[in-house]
Amino acid sequence: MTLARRRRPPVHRVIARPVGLVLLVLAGALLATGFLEMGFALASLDDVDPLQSVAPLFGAAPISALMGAFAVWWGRDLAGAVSLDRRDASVAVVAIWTLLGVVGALPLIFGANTSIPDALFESLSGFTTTGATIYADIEGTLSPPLVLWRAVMHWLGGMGIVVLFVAIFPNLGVSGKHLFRSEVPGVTAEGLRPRITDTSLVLWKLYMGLTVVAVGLLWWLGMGVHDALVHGFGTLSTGGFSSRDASIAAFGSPAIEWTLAVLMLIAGVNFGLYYAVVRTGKVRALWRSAELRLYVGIIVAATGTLTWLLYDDHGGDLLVSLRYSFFRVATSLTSTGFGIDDHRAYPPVAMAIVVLMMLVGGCAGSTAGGMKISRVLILAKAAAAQVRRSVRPAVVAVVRVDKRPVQPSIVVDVMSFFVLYMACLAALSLIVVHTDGVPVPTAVGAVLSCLSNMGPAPFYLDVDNFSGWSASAKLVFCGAMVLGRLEFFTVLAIFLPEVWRR
Amino acid sequence: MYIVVVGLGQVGTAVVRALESQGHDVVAIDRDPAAIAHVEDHYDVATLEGYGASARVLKEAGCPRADLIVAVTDQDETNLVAALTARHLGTRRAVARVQGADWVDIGGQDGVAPGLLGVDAVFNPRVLAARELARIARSHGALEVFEVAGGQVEVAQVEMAAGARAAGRPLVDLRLPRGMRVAAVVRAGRLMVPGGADVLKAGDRVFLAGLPAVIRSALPRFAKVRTTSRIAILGGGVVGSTLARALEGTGVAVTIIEQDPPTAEALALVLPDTTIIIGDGTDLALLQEHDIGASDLLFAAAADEQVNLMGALVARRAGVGRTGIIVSRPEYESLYQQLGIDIVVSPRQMATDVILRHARGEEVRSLFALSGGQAELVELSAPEGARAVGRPLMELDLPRGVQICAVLKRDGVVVPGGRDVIDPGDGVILVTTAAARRAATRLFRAGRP
Repeated sequence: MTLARRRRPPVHRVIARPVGLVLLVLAGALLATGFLEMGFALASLDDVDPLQSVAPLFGAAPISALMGAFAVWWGRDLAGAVSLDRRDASVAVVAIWTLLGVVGALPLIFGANTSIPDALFESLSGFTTTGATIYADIEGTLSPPLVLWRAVMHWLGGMGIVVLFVAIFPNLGVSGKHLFRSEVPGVTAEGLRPRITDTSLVLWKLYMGLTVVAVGLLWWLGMGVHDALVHGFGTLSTGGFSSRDASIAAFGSPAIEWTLAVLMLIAGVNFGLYYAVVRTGKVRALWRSAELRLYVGIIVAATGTLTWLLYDDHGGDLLVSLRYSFFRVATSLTSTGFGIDDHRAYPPVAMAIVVLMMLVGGCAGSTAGGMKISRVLILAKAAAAQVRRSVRPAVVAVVRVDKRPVQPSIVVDVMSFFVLYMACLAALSLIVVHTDGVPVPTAVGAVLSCLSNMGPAPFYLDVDNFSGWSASAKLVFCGAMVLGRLEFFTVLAIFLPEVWRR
Repeated sequence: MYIVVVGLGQVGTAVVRALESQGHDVVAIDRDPAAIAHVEDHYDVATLEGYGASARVLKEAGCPRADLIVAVTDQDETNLVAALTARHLGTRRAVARVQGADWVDIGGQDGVAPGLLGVDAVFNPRVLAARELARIARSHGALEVFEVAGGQVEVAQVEMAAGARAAGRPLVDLRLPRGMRVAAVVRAGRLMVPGGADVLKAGDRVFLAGLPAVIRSALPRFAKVRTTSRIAILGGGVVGSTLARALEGTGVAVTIIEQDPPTAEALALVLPDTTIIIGDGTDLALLQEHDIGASDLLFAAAADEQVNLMGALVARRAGVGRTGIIVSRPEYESLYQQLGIDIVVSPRQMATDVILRHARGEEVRSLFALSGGQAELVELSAPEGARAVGRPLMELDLPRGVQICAVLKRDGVVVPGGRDVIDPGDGVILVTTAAARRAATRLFRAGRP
């Protein structure tokens, strides 16, 4: 090692290369989607010109590629010489997610005449796996290539495009680790393998494997190949974009509904547990996780309660009520957002349960949104310990999860997360109430839906989607979706001056 | 390889860095959350906070399927227990460092005890450093001497003297004796592996590789030959006392300056031929009073790097011929040289070398880092079917930055020419820059028979 006498280059040059490479990956995804769709068009023997239908995708790909190539060129001499620290990584990840929104919006602008704020909203709703849409008439407005592109956005954003980047570009070293953590700040998502590249690869392989299984099952149950792809991508990523206006109800198949509900719940489990099962061959590893036990407990309790509450609405048919309730629990708890009935018609108690599940979300290290079960677990246990301390200060109260003590720093981290979640919910709702003059519950419901990457909101304006909001409210929602997907810290950190000042 | 590193002190961290950059899967264990946080933040490795000798922690770190455990905490016993426990759990190899004064005579020809207590290698880097200093003291002006293949081959670093005969002419025209070659050149802090057209200049640091006798006879063409008859050692710790013991009976007058009276008195008991002075080695008046300035060589071997640096600088002022220091940060070698220190020896670097050799697999017999890790000197056995085996070297088209220094045949050592052939099973000693390491490894990878 020679002692180089050099100052650190500015942030925008340090992050240029990884940002550029991700844009190149995105260009590849656009092309791949385009070619796949061309195949569909050719196979369908319809009278559509295959090239014309995929033109929006092929039009966006070179733009993404050019931007990416420019960024890579801009950071060319720093490759391997400077590694990213945490500050650079958070800036890089926020930049990547902003650019994802922009590039993802291009096909929608080109192909469906969507306005820029609308397209940006739809694109970020895709990548953050929120699944909220501004299209009132999906089947009439969007061509099949655009429908597939929305699903691909879900799929890339579900496990995380930065995680994919870390998986396919080896030799990132510690830069990769910081990038990974900025996108996946979860409590237990890492540490599967010593190297972050291997960890990312393991996660993406599991994700891909499960996706293939899901698409195959849906196709076998009678969906068309295109629909199976769209819903398979939307399920494993817990996204929620459908190819139909009526969402899953359009298929009218109880088998598909049961299958999708189970698949959504599978996507809401920590993928690290699957890895443990694959590596050790013991399914028992799943049950050892307190988070998973609580997850299953919530599913059982919520399904039971909803079945009972909705029993009369479904004409007293227990099995039907159970199916609708189970699907609702799966779609709400994992923040997917597929629908087979209208939850706005629910009795208030059932609605409250749905909103609470939205807030809680799936397991840490899954593709689901929300606060994550493990955080709720730690919060509850920490609060209980604090209550105990208040009356018996001499007792040493330790917070434990999975029989291991939780470090106080982690408890503080989780509490800060909760505070930020609530603060963002309040602040953004206030802004939306101001811009659109809507009632407070409507605003809070919509912002919560975006923050937890859920999709459908508990109280809509008058239609079943986000098309009724003003452009400025949509931009606020865009921010909320990214804040929720990257779990606050990464996004908020870039507003600190010391991230930029060296 | 899957490697568990226990202890994240200076050596542990350096080992983690080297292993990570070589692409190994590393799990690092330490009790100190601050050390864990540092490694977490700077290297792409997994970490575990806990006591490294506990079977529970080692199991959690994956020792049952690990290829190597490296135990380098600052407690010798912890290291040995950690290594033994890991071996018991199923780790394939174990390397443990010891550094206390009670672990000086652990045996092993090169200071690395193989198979001690069922651990594959137990080594004391301070003893390794003392032996290195002894070799430098016995050489006639070298700044660093590596013994490879049990002393059959030597690599010595020398500084090109002004007006040296070997300077100013292309290497091909030098007519160096058979049996040695110029393995690497460091100019202005940067290391390169020279070709025949390269020219040596005064002030260059040159690595000469070959048979010890040939190097000794060729030395005057490169460097000023210095005879060493008086040596002063600052600090009577493990390094100082081991060095003094190695020099006893060689006819060299050795003086140790030790600050702590009980330590000094204990030294005097075991070192009959050595002069022991109680006092502060960084005190110019003391050095002058005891005429240390007349020494040919002063090694500052106290535990503290800063004290060593200060001591060496004061000794130069007192008039000592050459100075050497023991440092813990080998990456600052060029900085020390700018300050006028001739010889820089780092026990940490030596520890890292020993550990990295074990991470490299069976075919690498020994390994040394040159010039702060810019290049490495490797001894390996040529496997059957490797690309470099069985054909004349001139047909080999060696990558830039790789030089084969010697080949150990069954009937002796050869410094090879273009027509020589490496046979399967021969030992090969080569120098490779960090950049060419992969290419060099590929040349000697076992092929399918």
